[in-house]
Amino acid sequence: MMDFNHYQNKIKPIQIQWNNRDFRVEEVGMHHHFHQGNKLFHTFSVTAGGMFFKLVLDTENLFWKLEEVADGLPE
Amino acid sequence: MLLDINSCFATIEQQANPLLRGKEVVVAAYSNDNGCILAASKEAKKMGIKTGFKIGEARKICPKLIIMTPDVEKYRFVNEEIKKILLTFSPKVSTKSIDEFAIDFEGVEGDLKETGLRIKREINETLGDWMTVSIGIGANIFLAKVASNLKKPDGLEEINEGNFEEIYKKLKLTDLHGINTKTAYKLQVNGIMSPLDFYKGSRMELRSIFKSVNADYWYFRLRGFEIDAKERPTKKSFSAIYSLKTPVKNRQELAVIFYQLCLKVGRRCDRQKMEAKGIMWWGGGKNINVSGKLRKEGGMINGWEMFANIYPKIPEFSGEIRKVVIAIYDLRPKSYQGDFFGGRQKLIKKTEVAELLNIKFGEGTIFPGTILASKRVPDFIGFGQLK
Repeated sequence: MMDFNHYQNKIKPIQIQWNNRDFRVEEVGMHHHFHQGNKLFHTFSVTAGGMFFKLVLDTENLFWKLEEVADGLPE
Repeated sequence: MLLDINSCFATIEQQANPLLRGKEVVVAAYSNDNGCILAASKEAKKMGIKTGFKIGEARKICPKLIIMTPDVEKYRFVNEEIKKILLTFSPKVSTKSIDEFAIDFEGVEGDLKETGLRIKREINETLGDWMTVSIGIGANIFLAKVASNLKKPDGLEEINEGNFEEIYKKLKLTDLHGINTKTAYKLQVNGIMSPLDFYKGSRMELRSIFKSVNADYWYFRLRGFEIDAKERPTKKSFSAIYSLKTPVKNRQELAVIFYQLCLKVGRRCDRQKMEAKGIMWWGGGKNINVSGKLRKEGGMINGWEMFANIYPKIPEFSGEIRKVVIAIYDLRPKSYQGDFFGGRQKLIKKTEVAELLNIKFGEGTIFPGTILASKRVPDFIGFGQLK
């Protein structure tokens, strides 16, 4: 679930469903973007439920991809 | 003014992932024991872990160490965002490296310390609270760099006419950017024991020690004259080196790496509107060496043409290659020199279109059929001065 602020033209993930569990986003550590060719991707590094998630939004098809999950502990 | 991002890659990772904050984090080229540490967080630095250590060594010091591999896109984004912020303060901003910027405030009015605080605030508001930078203020880039190193992390120091002697007295010769232990020894042998002695040394005295133009450079640098902001002369060669995580074991795998490196050097050359007449390639590992060089009087215009020339010359080999180098030299302005039968003109046209398509639709959209069964060389980031 995400929030789109059309006044500021900004998006923010609100809630993630992963492994049949809902995680409410607590903090967006960083939001950066990059291009692959002329395709624009937005990456959100967020914490939710004591976990870290890296989410990538493909702006061409508006699909979200979960790229990384971590618990912040050494291997 | 000089701005330096503290523990750059590690701080960015801690900013992105709040769970890493306050923990010993390092960013390393590879996560295995031989991986070289590119950046250590301030917590890891407190434990004695430094840039350049191997992961194995660092783990012995701190078993709880968290190892991250580089996220190049993230670091480039932070670099660009900071540059955007700096450009709102002065139009003359130059990126010295991925984590360092020089800002020229000549002709800009206002208190520079106040400006430094505002820059720090803006960086925190735009990128996050965990991002800390050290700012140094000085009459030239060299003094600003020395000032930025005086307090880390999160420093804001100035070297001016009122305090420079005091600071020179406190520092060691090796604290000066550009003086290594060998040069420091040379100076000490000649009775220059501290930066203050170095400053007080006459021009003749310095000339007799350095025996080169460097004596004059140091003489002026220490007095606040700008020596280091000059435009770099046009490059005479380009090279790209890649250390492989998993070694390559056959000609085809090696060709893929050469292709990627050819594209890299070819693009750098293209940005300077140059073409190369010579190319050298090398791949090496334990007891194995694959190398060669060739010259094309007509020139090689881009990475594709460079690869097309070296591909037939890559030999079959047995063994494991771990490090690969491509270097191009004998550069000259692009001439688009064709041949009698138009073969080269066709190749140039085709490859230039392929380059444009790859830029527009993403890397690897079009690639030579010779590397069809290929894997990509991951993007990597350099630490040196940007060229």
